[in-house]
Amino acid sequence: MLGKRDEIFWAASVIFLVAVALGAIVDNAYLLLMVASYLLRPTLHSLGFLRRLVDERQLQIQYQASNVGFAAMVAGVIVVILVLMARHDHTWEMLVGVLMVGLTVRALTGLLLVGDLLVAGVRILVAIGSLLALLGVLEGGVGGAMSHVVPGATLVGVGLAARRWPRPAGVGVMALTALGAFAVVRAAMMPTGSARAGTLIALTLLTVPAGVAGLCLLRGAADRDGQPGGDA
Amino acid sequence: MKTNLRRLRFEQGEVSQAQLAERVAVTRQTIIAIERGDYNPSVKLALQLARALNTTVEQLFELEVSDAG
Repeated sequence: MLGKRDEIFWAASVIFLVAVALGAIVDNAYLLLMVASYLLRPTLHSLGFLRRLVDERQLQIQYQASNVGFAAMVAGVIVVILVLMARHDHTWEMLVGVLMVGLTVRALTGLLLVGDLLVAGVRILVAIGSLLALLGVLEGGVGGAMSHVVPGATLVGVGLAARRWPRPAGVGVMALTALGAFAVVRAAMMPTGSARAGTLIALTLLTVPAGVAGLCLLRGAADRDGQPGGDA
Repeated sequence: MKTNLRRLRFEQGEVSQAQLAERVAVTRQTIIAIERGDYNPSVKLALQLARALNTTVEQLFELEVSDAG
């Protein structure tokens, strides 16, 4: 029988005790560790670690609870963003970034869990391109729209072309990802401030999914070629 | 879905919920939830339960009229 006092229980307990010790010494940081100890088990389950300690019913309950929790967190963040906007406090832009990180990871994980890497790569590229073009139109005016629509439409085009030519598209996307990573490093060296944070988050939200899409296309193409009847 | 898990558990030497849970590597709460009809096990767990009780999945679980597709 799976017991509650397994390895994950003891690991979470140690993290919690460290948090308590930190709480006595340092201010506030201990709260983050307490959250870590609380989320250790469901996170390990979801990432596929320690499967022998997984009870399928617990996993289903945690999945459903996490969905509700995520929705509540998104609603809470939106409320805080609205309050900050009303106060003309521009830190709301950073919260939008955090919100986008959560939604991006959720969408990427969902696509990857489907298990068809070629389809995932195509969909990620089309989604990034479409969002880039849409945000450009919504936020940038005519000039911004043009500067975003062209790269956005290009990404959509590469994504659609990847359905037929996944390997060349994957190589191209990985080259773009390298450029994006370079831009992220440059942004990280900008003077501190919300502009730097905003640029960093925006670039990261473009670069990381693009990298994932590139890897999906290359790996998916390799898997397809390795299958009997594949385009060897 | 109707479950005969509780009945078959007693027919197979009064196996306790904890013992059965240990045999199929789940928590006792999962066995309780299955017996109450609150949780439908995966195919893998259903097969494991059937093997642990020397029976078949069809004898453990039955579709009800309301389950008809």
